[in-house]
Amino acid sequence: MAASDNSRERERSLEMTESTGNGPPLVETGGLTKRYGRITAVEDLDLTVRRGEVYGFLGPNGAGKTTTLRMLLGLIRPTSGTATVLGERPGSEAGLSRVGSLVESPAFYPYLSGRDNLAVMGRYSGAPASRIEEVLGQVELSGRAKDKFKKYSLGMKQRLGVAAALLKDPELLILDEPTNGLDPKGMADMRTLIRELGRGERTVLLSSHMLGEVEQICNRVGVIQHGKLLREGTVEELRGGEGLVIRAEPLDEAVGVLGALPSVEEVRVEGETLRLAVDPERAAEINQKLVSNGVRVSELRSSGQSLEEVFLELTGESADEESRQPAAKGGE
Amino acid sequence: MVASFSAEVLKLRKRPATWVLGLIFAMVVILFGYLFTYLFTVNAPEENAPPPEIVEGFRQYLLPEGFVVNALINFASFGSALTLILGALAMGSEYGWETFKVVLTQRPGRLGFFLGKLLAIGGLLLVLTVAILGVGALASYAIAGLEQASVEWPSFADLVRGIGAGWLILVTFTALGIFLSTLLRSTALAIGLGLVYLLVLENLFLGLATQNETVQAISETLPVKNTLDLAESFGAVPQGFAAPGEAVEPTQAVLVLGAYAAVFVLLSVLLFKRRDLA
Repeated sequence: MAASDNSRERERSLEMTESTGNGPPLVETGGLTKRYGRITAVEDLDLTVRRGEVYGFLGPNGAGKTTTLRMLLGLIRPTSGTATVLGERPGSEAGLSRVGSLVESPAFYPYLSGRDNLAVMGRYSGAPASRIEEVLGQVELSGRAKDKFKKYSLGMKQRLGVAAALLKDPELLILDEPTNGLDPKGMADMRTLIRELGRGERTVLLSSHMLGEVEQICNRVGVIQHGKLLREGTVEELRGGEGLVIRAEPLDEAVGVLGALPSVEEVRVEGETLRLAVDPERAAEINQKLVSNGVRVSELRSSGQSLEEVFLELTGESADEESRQPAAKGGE
Repeated sequence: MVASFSAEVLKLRKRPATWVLGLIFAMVVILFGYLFTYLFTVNAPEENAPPPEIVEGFRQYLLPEGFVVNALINFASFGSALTLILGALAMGSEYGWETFKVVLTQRPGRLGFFLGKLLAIGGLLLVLTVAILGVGALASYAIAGLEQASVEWPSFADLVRGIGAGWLILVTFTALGIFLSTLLRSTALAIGLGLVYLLVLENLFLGLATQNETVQAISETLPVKNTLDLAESFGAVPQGFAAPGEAVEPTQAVLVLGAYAAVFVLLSVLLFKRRDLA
């Protein structure tokens, strides 16, 4: 999917988030803390996930993402603090019946086929048997459903994990590093799948250490490091105010032309560049105006930082090679 | 709990290990309970044969009238170890495969999950008890044919009591396997330590019980002695097959085994409910 499609998709989802964001949050934590002896895995975490959004939980390896998600699912008890998932206590039957999850690597019974594994999970969750074929189709595993789980490739195992998470047709989908260990094709397929799943009413809480992935898929992002939430906001908010940076000659003339445009709210001169408060989508139109007025434009770019720059600024350390990789490849 | 029971039944039914353990149990009963015992005692060549009164004891033990006690002795010697493995696999594998994180986020609470699992395993053990007693009955019928002896089956009441006793024996050692694997959150270590306890420590206490009163007193509180004595209450057991020393009362044996099973299950539930699944 092209980058512009991604941003359009995100905007559409954002509009939906805003329209549904008035209701109570689907996931809310207050001062959530988990300590193992002297080690603090998660510290004083306040997290809010709203209905209908795809929320990215971003942080380097070992930041406390999985511990947090396990607490939200009732697998780990917090040392202190509160958490509600769909208005219920984490791990309660009422809450879990509306939550689907894939935590870290997919885990199933190796001696059972993909279909039988889903049948077992369906019996535990009470999902109707008819859902099994539906979700197998959704993750494109119908053709291999008879094969034993132990014979699956990692990508297929991961897809079966998503299928199990979807069995209950959940309101909230919690996915922990769903693209971990997948090859580039597998990653791309998984991201497309997650985007499809996040359409409509369903809320997705996705953890990842991959910046490109979060940027492509998520509406809102929470950045976590050393167990603490450093920042929470929409991808756009995190990347800073929207606008354009222009390098043009002669500068005075450019300021004059731009100042006369009604779409430009503010023009600021910063050294040899101009910083414009304007919708970045108008870049082509602005360029044309400048050029037709005899101004030579040598650079024109969006003024927001990339999520990677924001992330590095927030965490104050260089992202490891693994987390850079997808950004460098441009994701899909 | 019902959901968890139904899921567990599917898992146990489709798991090859369940069938392998069941088949081994059946083969062991046929080979050691009947074939070898028959070949080396009743059917032994005259120069190697034990004294006639001992041979007669073995004959009773191998014929249909003794099939319940014969089977139950095998429950004590082989069934205990095999079901310890079964219990450890049923619980420990879930730790090994990390399936708890998927299963417990489906819906059932931990207690519901655990009770459903116990119920399914309890059901499986009942099927296993009946099946093994059936195998024993068939083997004893074959021996009666070979010996051209009249076929006299134990009374129906004895058979029902035998099924109950056999089930209790298997439940106790399965519960030990479940407890060890829950405590250690592993299969291999639980099976290893469980078998060392069962085959070394328990036998040490059994062997030394006649030498020392304190050891005997301790031995009478341990599962294996109570299991053997419970089996012995169903008929005469040839020398060397029963536990040495005075046998404990069957009622006491049932209570001791029941208490062990209950404590193992209770401790497992507590551990499983309280611990994080990280």
